[in-house]
Amino acid sequence: MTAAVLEVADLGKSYRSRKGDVPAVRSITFDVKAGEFVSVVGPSGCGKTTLMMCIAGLLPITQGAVSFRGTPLTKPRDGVAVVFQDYSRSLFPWLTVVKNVALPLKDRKVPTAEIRRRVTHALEMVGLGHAADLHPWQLSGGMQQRVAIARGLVVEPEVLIMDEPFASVDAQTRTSLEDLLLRIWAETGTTVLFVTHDIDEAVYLSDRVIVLSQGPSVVVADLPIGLDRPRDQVATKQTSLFGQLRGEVYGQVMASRKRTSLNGEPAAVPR
Amino acid sequence: MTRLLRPLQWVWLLAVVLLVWELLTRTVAQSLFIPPFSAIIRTFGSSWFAATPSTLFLSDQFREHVLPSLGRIAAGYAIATVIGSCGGVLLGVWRPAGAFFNPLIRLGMSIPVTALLPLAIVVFGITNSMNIFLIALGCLWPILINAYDGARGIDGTMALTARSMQLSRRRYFLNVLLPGASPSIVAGMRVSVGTAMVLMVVSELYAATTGLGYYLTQQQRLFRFPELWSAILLIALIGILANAAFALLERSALRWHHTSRGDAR
Repeated sequence: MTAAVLEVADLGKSYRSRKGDVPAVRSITFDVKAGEFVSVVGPSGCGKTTLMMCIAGLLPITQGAVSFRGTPLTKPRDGVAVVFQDYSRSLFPWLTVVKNVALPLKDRKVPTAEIRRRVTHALEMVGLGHAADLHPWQLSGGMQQRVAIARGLVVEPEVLIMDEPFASVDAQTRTSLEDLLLRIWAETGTTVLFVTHDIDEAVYLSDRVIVLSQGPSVVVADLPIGLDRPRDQVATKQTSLFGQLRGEVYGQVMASRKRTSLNGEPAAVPR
Repeated sequence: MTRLLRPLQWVWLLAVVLLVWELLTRTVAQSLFIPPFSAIIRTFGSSWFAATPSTLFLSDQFREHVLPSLGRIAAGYAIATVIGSCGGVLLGVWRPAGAFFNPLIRLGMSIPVTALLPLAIVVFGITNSMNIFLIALGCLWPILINAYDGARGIDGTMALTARSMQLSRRRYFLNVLLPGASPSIVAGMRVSVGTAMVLMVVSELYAATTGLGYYLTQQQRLFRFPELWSAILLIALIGILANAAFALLERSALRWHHTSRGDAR
């Protein structure tokens, strides 16, 4: 049994407003083990992005705790990297691809030669060795998100947090990015915490899928995904187990949606 | 329209105006104060240029009056750019400081710099520093305000990205904030080019012993109107050149901005 690298215990987050505190995340508890690929899914507006920003230490939490390798994580720290959904605003357009990827290493006392080696390696892993001297805006959406992934990998993180990274690319690019990510995950052994609203994507990629309720969110299910690896876009998705798991996650998401009625009041739903 | 003829559509009106000027001043509207344009051009050549390669074909007069003016503009403008962009960005990201200095900035902006000229003459005397001070102060406000807005408008995702990378404050300032605010800063700098020209001339009209402004008053007192006009023409040309150089610089330095937003290149 591998130890948990990331522990989220009773995490809650409310935003302050004039009418009082508005809860976005009620109480979330789960562990992520070293090397695991864990996806978080939930109905839209359930606070997935808020939760990820809290776990990454980018937003202060109002309740509970996040710990990374046993120590509390309250602000961004080494070993945790984030890939954002909106690559066009997360990459710096005034820097070339290679400078964007090298930026997180600049303040880490890494020797120049080592920076060069790691940047080249990260770009090769995402298949963009040839695009090093271009600017992000000269690349397609899928390529830009690969640059953002390379920038996440370059710090050699233990945990890679990805917030709906493939939500703004087309379906074909998306499947190839999924396979690229699985290959990188297998190669580097990094732990991935992956947020998505796409149930197929979550099941296809993950070891475990965590289903959140409608906001303010709680964990409604934590499903192990027992599909064989390596996975294949056609063969894996044709297995009956895939269909079964997909149905199970879908059912949980739908049920969690029904649990809250439209006016925000919890409604009684027979289980 | 063919490629060769295209520039003509931009200059024909100018050509007509100059032609009418030439004809009127030679015939019905002869005036001591408004010489024919051809006379101005002739004086322009003889006043500012000389057949001496060692001085880059510039006349003594050019070196005595134009170079000091250009130097003052460059110094004042550079000071305003450095203080304005760094100060504006800092005030933009450091909210309490922004709120603290806001009234002072509003007040400073509202004082026409020319109103400070008599005071500056007393404080600095008739020195280069006085001209430079006024140019710098006048150019400061547009750059400062625009840098402030630019820094406040930094995209939220970009700021979060930078935070997740744990950049040092210095690197965040130099690699994220300053370039992120640079389209706004450059917009302010562009406005300031004109302000710098105006303040150069005005401050030299009243308080200088060299420079284009001083030259203008001298020629006026000596009733040398072709010389006066040739200086005005030179000032206009310097303004056009400065703007063109600026546009060129902007296009190369901010290419990422224009292209990534899909503007015309």
